[in-house]
Amino acid sequence: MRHAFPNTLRACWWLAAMSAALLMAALITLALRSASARAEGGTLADPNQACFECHAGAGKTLTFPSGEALSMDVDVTAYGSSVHGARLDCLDCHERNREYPHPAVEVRSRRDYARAEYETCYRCHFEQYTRSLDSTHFDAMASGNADAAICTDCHTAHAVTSLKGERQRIALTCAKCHKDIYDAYAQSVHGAALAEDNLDVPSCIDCHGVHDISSATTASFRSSSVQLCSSCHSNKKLMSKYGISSNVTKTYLDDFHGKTVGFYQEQSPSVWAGVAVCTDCHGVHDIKRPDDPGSSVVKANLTTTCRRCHGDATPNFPSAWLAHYEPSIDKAPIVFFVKQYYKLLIPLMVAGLGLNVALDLWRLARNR
Amino acid sequence: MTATTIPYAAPIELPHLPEKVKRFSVWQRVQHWMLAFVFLSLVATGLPQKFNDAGVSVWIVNTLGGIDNVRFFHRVLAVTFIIESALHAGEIGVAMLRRRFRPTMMFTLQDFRDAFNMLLYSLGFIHERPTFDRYDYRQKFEYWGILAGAVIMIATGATLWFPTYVTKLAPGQFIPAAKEMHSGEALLALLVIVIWHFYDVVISPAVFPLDTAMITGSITGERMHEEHGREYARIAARQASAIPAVAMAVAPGTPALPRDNGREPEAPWGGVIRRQLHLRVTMLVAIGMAGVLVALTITALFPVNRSIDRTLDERRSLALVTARQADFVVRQGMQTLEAATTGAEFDLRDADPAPERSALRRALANSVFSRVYITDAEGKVLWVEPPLDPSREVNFAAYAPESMLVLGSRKPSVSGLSTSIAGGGPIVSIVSPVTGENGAAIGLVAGDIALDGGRLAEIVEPAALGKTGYAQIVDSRGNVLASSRPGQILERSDHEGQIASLIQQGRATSGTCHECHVAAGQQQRSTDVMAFAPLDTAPWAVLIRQSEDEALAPARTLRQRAIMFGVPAVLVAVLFSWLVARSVLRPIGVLTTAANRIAAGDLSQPVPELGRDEVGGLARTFEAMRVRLRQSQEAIWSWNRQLEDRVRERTHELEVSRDSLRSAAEEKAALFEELRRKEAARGELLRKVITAQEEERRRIARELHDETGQALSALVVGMDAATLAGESDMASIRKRLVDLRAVTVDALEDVHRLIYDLRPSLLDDVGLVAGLRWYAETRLQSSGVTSEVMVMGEEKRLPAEVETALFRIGQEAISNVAWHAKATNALVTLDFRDGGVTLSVEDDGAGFEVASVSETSDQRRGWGILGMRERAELLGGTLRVSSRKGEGTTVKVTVPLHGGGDRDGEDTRPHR
Repeated sequence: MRHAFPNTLRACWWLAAMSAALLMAALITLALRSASARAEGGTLADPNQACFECHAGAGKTLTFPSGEALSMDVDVTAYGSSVHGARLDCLDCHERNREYPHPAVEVRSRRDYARAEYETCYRCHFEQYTRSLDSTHFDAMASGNADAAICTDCHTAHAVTSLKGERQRIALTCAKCHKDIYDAYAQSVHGAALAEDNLDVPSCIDCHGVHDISSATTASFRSSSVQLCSSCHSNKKLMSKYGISSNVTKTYLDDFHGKTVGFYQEQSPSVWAGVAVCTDCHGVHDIKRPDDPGSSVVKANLTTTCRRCHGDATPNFPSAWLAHYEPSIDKAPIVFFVKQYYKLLIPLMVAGLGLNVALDLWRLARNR
Repeated sequence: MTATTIPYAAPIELPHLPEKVKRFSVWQRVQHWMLAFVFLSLVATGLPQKFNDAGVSVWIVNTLGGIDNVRFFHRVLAVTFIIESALHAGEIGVAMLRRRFRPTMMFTLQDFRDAFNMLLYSLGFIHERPTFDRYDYRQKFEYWGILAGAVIMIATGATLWFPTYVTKLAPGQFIPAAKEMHSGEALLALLVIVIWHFYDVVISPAVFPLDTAMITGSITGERMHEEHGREYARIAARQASAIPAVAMAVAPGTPALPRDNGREPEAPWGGVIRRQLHLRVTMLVAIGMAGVLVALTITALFPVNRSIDRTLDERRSLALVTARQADFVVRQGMQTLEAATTGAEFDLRDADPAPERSALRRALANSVFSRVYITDAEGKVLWVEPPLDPSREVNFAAYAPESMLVLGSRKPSVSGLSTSIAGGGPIVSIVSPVTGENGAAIGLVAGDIALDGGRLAEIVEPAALGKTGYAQIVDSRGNVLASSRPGQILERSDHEGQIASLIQQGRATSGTCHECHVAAGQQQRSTDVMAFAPLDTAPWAVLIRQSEDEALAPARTLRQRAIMFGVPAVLVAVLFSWLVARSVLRPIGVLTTAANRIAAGDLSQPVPELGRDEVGGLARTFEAMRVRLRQSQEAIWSWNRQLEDRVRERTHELEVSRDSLRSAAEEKAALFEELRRKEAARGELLRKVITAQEEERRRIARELHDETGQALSALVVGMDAATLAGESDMASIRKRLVDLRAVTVDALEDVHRLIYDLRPSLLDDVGLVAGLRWYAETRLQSSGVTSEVMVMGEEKRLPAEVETALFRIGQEAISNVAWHAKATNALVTLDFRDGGVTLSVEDDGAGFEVASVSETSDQRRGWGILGMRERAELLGGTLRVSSRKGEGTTVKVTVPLHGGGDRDGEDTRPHR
């Protein structure tokens, strides 16, 4: 979905990058707005009284052929305070139970019941629903994993509340299934900051997307993960707030690993880039500050980190990587001087040779 | 005729510039081209990694099948490069070991002088271009640059290839430093090659379009002399002894005419271009014109691009206008709804439904709505127009839940896509709050706009341009609400996300995009021009799209035409330049043909008239030259003819004199031979004469002893006896005296005889004839041969030496007859006629073969004849002996008499 404006060829790169960023920003704001709009809904006269006679604290359960029992009680308070509470009647979702006695439930298990019922969401939320069809969760479900997340797994059935801006909650929602990942994340520099209600750090969906959560194990996700990290880490304003260099993407892309990834993206994003991307050194969910003793990129651990790919790396080896610094007299004097030497020599040489050629031509012209 | 005999004038200057001089061996050339290929390939696979953002880099990498392939090729090439470098180094090493190494690439002080002089020359301070040795300072600079570069590149490249090994010993910083060095040095090398080497061997006017030395391996002698004068001089000096062979090859070919009709045989394709003015003019003019055309085309393409930009701007304006129009319709709808609720009787709470119904009817009329209705605050539909089945209770909130927000905001709004409450068709609703007395919202008035009704589509229809163009109204989720193409309604736009963000930004924009998601099955991607303008009143946007091919057709056509005209224009330019070159070169061709003819020696045909221009002038000059040449040629021919005649004469004379000389020499040789023989004979004769003298003396002594001595002794004895007899015995004395007298007479006769033998005093007394007669009678008669002496002509006295000689010859001949001839008759003839005297002695004896005697080497024989001839020749006469076996012998001697008979009286000899 890259958007190109080829009449000004040079601008196309910028526009592509900017439109991607704008798109993301727009999505977020849009989501925020509509959420706030919904919150303002009015109270509903209770048309559900009939339902609540049986389903509010009557203690009924439904037993599935699998033997599992499902409580038929609805937390009326929770539902009332949910986003749907003021707007939807029970029957809007549980349409098939309009008649009484209700038709028999014909599913085998509690999970199957949830999977049969959640489809009702799409009648209103078809946009989110269709997006979810592209998600890795749906793929998992399609390939037979009954436990793959469906709408109600994240949003709950009755206590649906808006998650806009609730980054911590979002992370906790994901953590319901992805416990160990969440634990790692919670320990990370991002997760720790999120716990302090810092909204600048990414939570799960900032990297993985919301409904169309794509698989994070594909080659293209790996390749594009550089841009993913860079979307925040190249933001000067944001990074300067925390004293982090916004140059990391540039220095990465200028080096061997980054250039290789760049070529992979140009040529075949679907091929697994066999070189290190951000996460290979810094970790994925457990990213630590580079000066954290537990960080994989702190000096003490760097050799081990390098050895993951460069099996015979010696303690000297990690310093071959300038740690996202531009070579300077302080950081890498040899590199700096070599660079300066060629910066000086090449123009001098070109000028000298050009002068030589010009003189030669002049002489030939004069001799004619 | 050996080569070395030709003198060699100046050992430094070759007498003839050799046509070609070998400069590079096949191996050197192979090395060069391998290096060139490897170097350029390394650059092509290396620099894209440095300039990874450049479009051409991406293209190269993708063409070669990805960065991993590129790196693989780069490393294969690098290994090749290392092998080549090692070969080169090895070659030098081996040459050093074999003491064959010539340090032609070493920098010397001379190179700095050369560089400085070249600078002075280029600036015009000195007027003679410096000349160089085998490699000039620039070539050396390049060589050492490449050498140093190779060392750096190999070292840093290996470091980058095996970083972990390097860092086992070296600090890690070496790796990025090596990277910088590797790329910097590569760039430097490329620039040096491109700027300097390519200039030197391709672009420089001196060699344009290509220096073929590295292809053919040789350069012309002229160029070598010019550019590598020192090497040239060195080779010339070294080959001084071998050079005449070259000179020989040129010198004997008398006419120094160019072979092969004036075209030099050495000329591979590179030379052809350089040598053929036609190609050169064509190429240069074509390049020039093509350059201008390309520049024009490029400048023409700028306005084209601007016009594309303008087209896009206009699209955006159109989208904006359409959006405003849609805004207007929506706002009108809102106003209609609001107006409906502001009636005086309009009150949701009262029981009278009539005002509301009429208000709804009013609202329905003359509006875009297909259905209007009023709901209470819970969304329960109270009144619908047109009416629905009244038994059915409808809650509006179920259809457009977010529309209920209007109750809170109390501002009219537009709902998202939903279905009609009447069931069926897709609609969008405009919802306006109904306010109660206290100002709180007590209900909603809503109007449905049926999407399949075409009311919205009417708005966008005019904005559909051309055949492929269409206009749409889309909502923020990308659903198409209305389209100039009816079938597209409710489709998902393929740019939903983007549209959402653009709607959010409320910004109109335009551009091109790929219609990539329209048909997932079909892979064809068409490019569209898209203009986008959001609505103010609703989260909608107007989207105008048209196939790029159609929208930008004018600009495209212009661009295509620029190319369509450009290519033929370049071709026309080439044709034109070819014609120009031809028009100039055709007369030159004619001239060349004429000059070739002249060069080949044909001066008979005149050089054609070629007009009055410069070439015509040249042709006239040629003609004048031809005429002069012809004249001088004819003069030379006539001189030649004269010369030939003279030579022929002289040759003839020489032949004649040679023949005469040869015959004279033969004669002389025969004479010499004869002289030699005679000399030998004379020597023999002398010995013989001496011997004969001794013999004669012995004989005389014997005679004197035997005869005269005896007689004198007898006289002495008789006288003694007479003396002793005394006087008494006179008679006996007398008798004795008589006896003595007789003895004395005998003795006297003996003495006479002796004297006669010694000299024929006969001659003095009786002359030659009588002497010969006497001798013949006395000598021959005793041998029983009848002799006769005949005299012919008048007998006269001859000079004494002649008479003596003739007498001796006759004596010898007669004696020969007596001794050898066994003849019975002999005839002696003396002929005084004819001014000379001829003596001939003939016999009828046994005869002999003259040759066997006179020319025999047996010196014992023939002395008689020789003696006779000798005597005759001393007098200037001739002697002839003619004889044959059984036929007798004739000896004939003729002696000329000088002064003839006049000297008869002058005979001074005393006569007896």
